Amino acid sequence: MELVDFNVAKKLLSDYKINFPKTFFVSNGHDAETASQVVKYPIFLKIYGKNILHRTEHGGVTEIKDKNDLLLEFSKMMNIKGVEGVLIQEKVLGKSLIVGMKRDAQFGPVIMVGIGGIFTEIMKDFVLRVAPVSEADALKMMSELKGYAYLCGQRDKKTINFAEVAKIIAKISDLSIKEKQINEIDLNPVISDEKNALAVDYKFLI
Amino acid sequence: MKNLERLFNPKSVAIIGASPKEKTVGFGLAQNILTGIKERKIFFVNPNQKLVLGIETYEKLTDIDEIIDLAVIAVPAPYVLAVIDDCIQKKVGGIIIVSAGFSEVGKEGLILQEQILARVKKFPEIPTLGPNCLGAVITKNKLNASFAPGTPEEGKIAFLSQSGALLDVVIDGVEKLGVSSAVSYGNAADIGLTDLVEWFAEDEATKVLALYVEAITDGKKFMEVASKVTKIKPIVAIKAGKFEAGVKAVQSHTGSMAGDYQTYKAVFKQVGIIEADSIEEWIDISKLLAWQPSCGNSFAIVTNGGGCGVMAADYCKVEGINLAKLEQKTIDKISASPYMCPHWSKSNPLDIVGDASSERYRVSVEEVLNQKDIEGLIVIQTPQIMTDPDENAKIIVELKKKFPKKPIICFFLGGKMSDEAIMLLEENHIPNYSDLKRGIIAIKALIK
Repeated sequence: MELVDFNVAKKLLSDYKINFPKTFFVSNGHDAETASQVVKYPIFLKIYGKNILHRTEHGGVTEIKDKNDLLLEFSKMMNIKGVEGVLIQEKVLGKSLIVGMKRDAQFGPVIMVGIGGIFTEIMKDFVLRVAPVSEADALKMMSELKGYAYLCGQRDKKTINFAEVAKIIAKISDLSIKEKQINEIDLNPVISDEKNALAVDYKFLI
Repeated sequence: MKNLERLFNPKSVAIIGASPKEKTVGFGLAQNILTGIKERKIFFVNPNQKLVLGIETYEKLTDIDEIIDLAVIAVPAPYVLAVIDDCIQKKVGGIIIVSAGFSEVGKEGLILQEQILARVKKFPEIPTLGPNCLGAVITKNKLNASFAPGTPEEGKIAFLSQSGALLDVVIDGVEKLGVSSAVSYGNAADIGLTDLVEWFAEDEATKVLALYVEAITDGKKFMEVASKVTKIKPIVAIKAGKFEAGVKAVQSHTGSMAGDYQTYKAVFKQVGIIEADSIEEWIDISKLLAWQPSCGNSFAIVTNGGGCGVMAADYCKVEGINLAKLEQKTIDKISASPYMCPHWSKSNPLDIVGDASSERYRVSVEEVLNQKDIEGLIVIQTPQIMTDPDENAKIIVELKKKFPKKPIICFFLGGKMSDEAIMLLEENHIPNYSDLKRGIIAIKALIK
């Protein structure tokens, strides 16, 4: 399986009305500067390459506070093996979830929602459901997570916007049913606060 | 839906490959099919043997003059195709291919199997079970078209299993359980699990479907059928092959977490199938669902051992089983009994104390069942010197008849002292479990 091109992925999200933060793909310093003027600081720089599936393992994510650091960090990233360009993205605050899909040979698209961030794979707190998944199904899936109370803000009084995340999950289900060429999807993380939910990083595998 | 009536309720059966040699598949089939001799005509086909179990054989299926509903094939794999052609010529109503040596042994076998499949697919009016299967047992029809080690008693559970050996385990191991049917579908060249689930969902003798699943090959159809069936009959499934042999190199996070088994688990949950974790649990749950009515989530525990009562309450908590609060009226009635000791617990679990007589069991069980919001009852008996297990069992059987809509689940713990009592309970379809945790896991499946 290989990663679909960044701009194709971005278009898929737009086509299915899945919200994501302002993100630009740049491959030269001039474009990087132009993009950074559109995206408000602090910004994130993230490496992009078709064969780079887990960019943090390559040291490929950096937060930049102001434009003085931009070009230096940008050129450092461009020198990492396999890097085709850098994503410049606005910083999003909230709680992290992972929303995904795996196409099963027997059952078709299997939709996943899990607690995101660094604990995704360690805690393995996720719920699966075979598509089609409605928004109501998606809400139920989230309520079955072990970390549901955390998403509700039991400790920190900061809840996520369940309805908005449910919309994303239902849209991923819809997308997976229609776009049969796509085998796996990771929206990781989806970051949500009380108001919004955004697909901050996205991977589509074909 | 495939019509399996002539296959599972045949007026006549031919066993092709019936054998007089003991400890062979052909002998087992012949011996078992004869248990239904009064129900149907039976023919044995074997060109090399004149007599099988005292019955004259035919050289070929087509030599038989009469209509054949069910043809059971147990000849070596290379000869199966020719027999299938005879079956088609004879317009049989269904075929069971017991013979092994097909897709399960590799490429050559797979080619043979595909040839058979291509042939039978042309005749949808001839449903075919197998190859590489144990066969089928339908107790209400007195049909044992299998080489199982015996014939199970009539009951309400339909065991549908890819593995024939596991059916042997059920048939041999759980005498009193009772089955409506035991069908192994082997390599599922034609009839698959989904077809069987569809068929037995409509079978009046079947109350519970117990499935052993390795792989489902028609996922979407299976989900569609199963989600309809679970609304009318419970399905309990055990899944084998949970761990994948290899791990793919390039995957998404979702891909690595949504493994095959995780997907099956999600599918089961989504369509309302109860998943069992072990053979024991599979049978425990199926038995309870077959024998007792389902109910709301409100239970009481009556026990003559305080510790066991506490443990049972703990397991109920873990499994999400609610214990009802005793009404004052219930407490008063129990306390008013001359047999009751003054220091019984007066709360749920009802600890009626170690020296509990059978009369103490009677009054507490009866009054608890009289309390409207208590929907099901757990009875624990520890074998103490003053305990009378036989009498206790008799009382429970009696009270069960008075309250048919409320499930009773027994835990007569210990050993030989309660053997006969347990037999009496189970003959009356009141399940007894030898371990609290085992039974309480099963009770969870009973809750509506």
